[in-house]
Amino acid sequence: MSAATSRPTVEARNLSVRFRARGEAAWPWSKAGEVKAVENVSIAVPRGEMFGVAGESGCGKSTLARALLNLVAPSAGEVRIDGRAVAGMPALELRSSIQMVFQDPYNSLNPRRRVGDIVAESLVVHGRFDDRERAHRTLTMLEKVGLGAQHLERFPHEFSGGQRQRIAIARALILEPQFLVLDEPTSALDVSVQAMVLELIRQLRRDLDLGCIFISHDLNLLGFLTDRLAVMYLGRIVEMGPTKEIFAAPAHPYTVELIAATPSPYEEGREPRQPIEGEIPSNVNPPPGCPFHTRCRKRIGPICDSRLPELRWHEGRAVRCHLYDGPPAESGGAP
Amino acid sequence: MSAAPVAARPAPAAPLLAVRGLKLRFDTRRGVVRALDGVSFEVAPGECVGLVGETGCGKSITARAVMGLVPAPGRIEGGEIRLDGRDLMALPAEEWRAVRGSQVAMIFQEPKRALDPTATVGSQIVEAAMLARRIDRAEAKRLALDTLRQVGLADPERIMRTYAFELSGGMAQRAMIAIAVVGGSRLIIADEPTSSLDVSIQAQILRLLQDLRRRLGSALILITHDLGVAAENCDRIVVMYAGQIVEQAPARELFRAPAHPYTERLLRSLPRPGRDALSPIPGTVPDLIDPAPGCRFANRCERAGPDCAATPAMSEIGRRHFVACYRPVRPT
Repeated sequence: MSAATSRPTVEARNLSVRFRARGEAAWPWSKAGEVKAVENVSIAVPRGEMFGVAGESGCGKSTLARALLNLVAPSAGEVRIDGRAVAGMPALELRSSIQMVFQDPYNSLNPRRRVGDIVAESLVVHGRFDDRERAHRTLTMLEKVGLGAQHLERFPHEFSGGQRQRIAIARALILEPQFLVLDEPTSALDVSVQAMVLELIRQLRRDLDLGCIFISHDLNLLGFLTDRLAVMYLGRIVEMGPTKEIFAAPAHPYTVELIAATPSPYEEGREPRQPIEGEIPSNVNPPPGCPFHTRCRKRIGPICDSRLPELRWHEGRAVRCHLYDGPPAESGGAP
Repeated sequence: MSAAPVAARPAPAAPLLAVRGLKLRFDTRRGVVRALDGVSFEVAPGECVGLVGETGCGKSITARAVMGLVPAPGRIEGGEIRLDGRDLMALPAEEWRAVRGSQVAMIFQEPKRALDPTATVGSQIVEAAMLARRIDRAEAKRLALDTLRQVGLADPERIMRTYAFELSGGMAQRAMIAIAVVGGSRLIIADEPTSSLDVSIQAQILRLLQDLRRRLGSALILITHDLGVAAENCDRIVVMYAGQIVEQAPARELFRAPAHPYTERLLRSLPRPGRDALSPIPGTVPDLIDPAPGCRFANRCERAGPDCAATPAMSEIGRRHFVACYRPVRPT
C-alpha cells in the first residue's frame, strides 16, 4: 500500500462508481439499468509523479478523474489524499490539495469574467491574502504559464485554445495544490499547440513537485509524458505499471491492441495488422468473465467467458488476464 | 497499411484530379480572409493522398472546393479544378451536381451528424444510388444491400431500416461510407473520417477505406490532422499551412526527410514514447486577413530571410518530393 512511500499520495481504494442508466435502457417501462462506469479501481499516485490513465470511450477514465476530486460520489470504495478520506473533507480543504483541468478550454472558462478574476477567484473564495498579495500571486501564476500582465483584463474569447488551457492551468494551480488531475487537456488542441501545453505541464510538475493524473486516449502522448500508466477497459484497470515497460512489452491483450491501433508516423515497415474486431460492449450489461473476452485474440477458453481475472503481478506490473498467473497484485499497490 | 507496391507505382501521365493555383476568399465583416492562396496538387487514379495540416490551414475548404460545396461567403477567385481533364469550375451548377456522387463523393467527420436524422439509412443510400447511376429503385436497392455488406455491416436488410441515432459511431461511419461509394465515384474525399471515433474503431474504418479503394479502384483524398493516420494510410502526403501547400512527398520520404521547416517543426512537436522533450513551434499562425506577402510560415521560421517575402515556388528536391521553400531543411 501507499505506506511504502512516505510522500503525500492520492489514492483510490477499490473504487466503484455506478450511475442509473439513461438512454435506451431507461424507457419508463423498462427496468432501469446501471452504468458500471468504474469498477473496483485502486491506484496510488505520490507527489511528483506523472501518472497516466489510458482507454477508449466508456472505459471510465473521466469518471475516475471526477471521483478523485469527489465530484461524483463513489458507490463503493474511497478516495484518500495523504491518508485522509476525501468524502468527509471540507470542500475548501479538498480543493486546496487537488485540482482539475478540463478537456474543453472553450467551455471551462466563464466567458463573462476577466482572466485576472478567473485565476484569482480561488484565493478570494478561500479568503487567502489581501488584495495586493492576491494580485501579485495572480500575476506570478500567469507568468508561470507563459502569460503576462497585459492579459489580466482580457476575456476568455480573446484567447486561442492553447492560451485558454494555460489560463485553466493557472486557475488550477493558484492554490498551490499537491495534485492535479488533467482530463484530456490537449485533445481539443492542434499538435503544435499541444506541444507547448505539454511542455508547460512537464515543467510545472517539476517546479511545483505536483502529482499529476493525466487522462488521455492518446497512447503516443501518454507514452511520452507519463512515468506510470493504467490502461482501463469497461471500467476496470486491465494493466498498470511503469510506462516504459508497458510500451516495451505490453502484457494484456487489450494493451497490445491499443498500442498497435495507435497510428504513428515513425513505425516504418511495421506489419500492417488486422484491426481488432467488434465494438466496445455496453457497460450497462458488461460481458461476463473478462470484460475483453468478446474481442480478445488470445482468448484461452471458457474461463475467459465466465471468470473475471484478478489483477496479478507479471514482470513488474499488474495485469488482469487469465494468461498470467502471478501472485495477486495488492489493491492500491505501486506497480 | 500503405503497401509498398502502391507507393512504388510510377507517376501516371494523366491525373484524375488536378487542382491548379486555387485561390479562395471569404469576405467577412473584419475583412477579406485569404483562405487558399494558390493551392496546386494532383491525385492519380487509385492513389491515396493525405491532406494534412493544423486547424485553419485550408485542408477542409480545399475538399469543399473540389466538391463544389464552398459555403457562403466563400468564393473561388482563381485557379482551376480538373477532374479527368474536365474543368469543374466551368460547369453550370446543375452539371456539377451530377458530378457529385457519381464521380466525386465525400465522407464527413461526424457520421451521425452527416446522415439525415429523419430518413432511414436505406432511403439515403438508395437515393444516392439512383441519382448517381440513373437506375431504378429495385436495382438501387440490390446495389445498396450489396454495398452495405461490402462495408462490413452484417445484416444489411436490418441496417436499411435503421436511423442514424440507432447506430454506433463506427456503424454510422460505415453507413456513410456505403452512401459515398454506392455511386461508383472514382474519387472519394474523406474529411477527418475517424477523428470522432475510438482508436480501435478508427483502425477498422481506415482498413475498410483501404480495402474499398483497392477493390473499387477509386482514388482517396484523406484529410486529417493526425500525421500518424496519414503516414500509415497514404501513398503521398500534401502538407498545408495557412492556406498554402508547403510540401508534398511520398509518405515515407516525408517523415524520413521533411524538407519544409514547418513540416520539420511539426514532426518535432509530436509526442511519442521515448522522446525526451517536445520542441514546440514558436509564435502563432498568421491572421489570414491581409497576410504579409510571401511564405506564410516566415514569421515563425528560424531559417527565414529577406527573400521569404516573395512566395517561394514548389521545387522538386527529390523523387516526387516537392517543397515551397528557399531554404529547405537538408537531411542530415
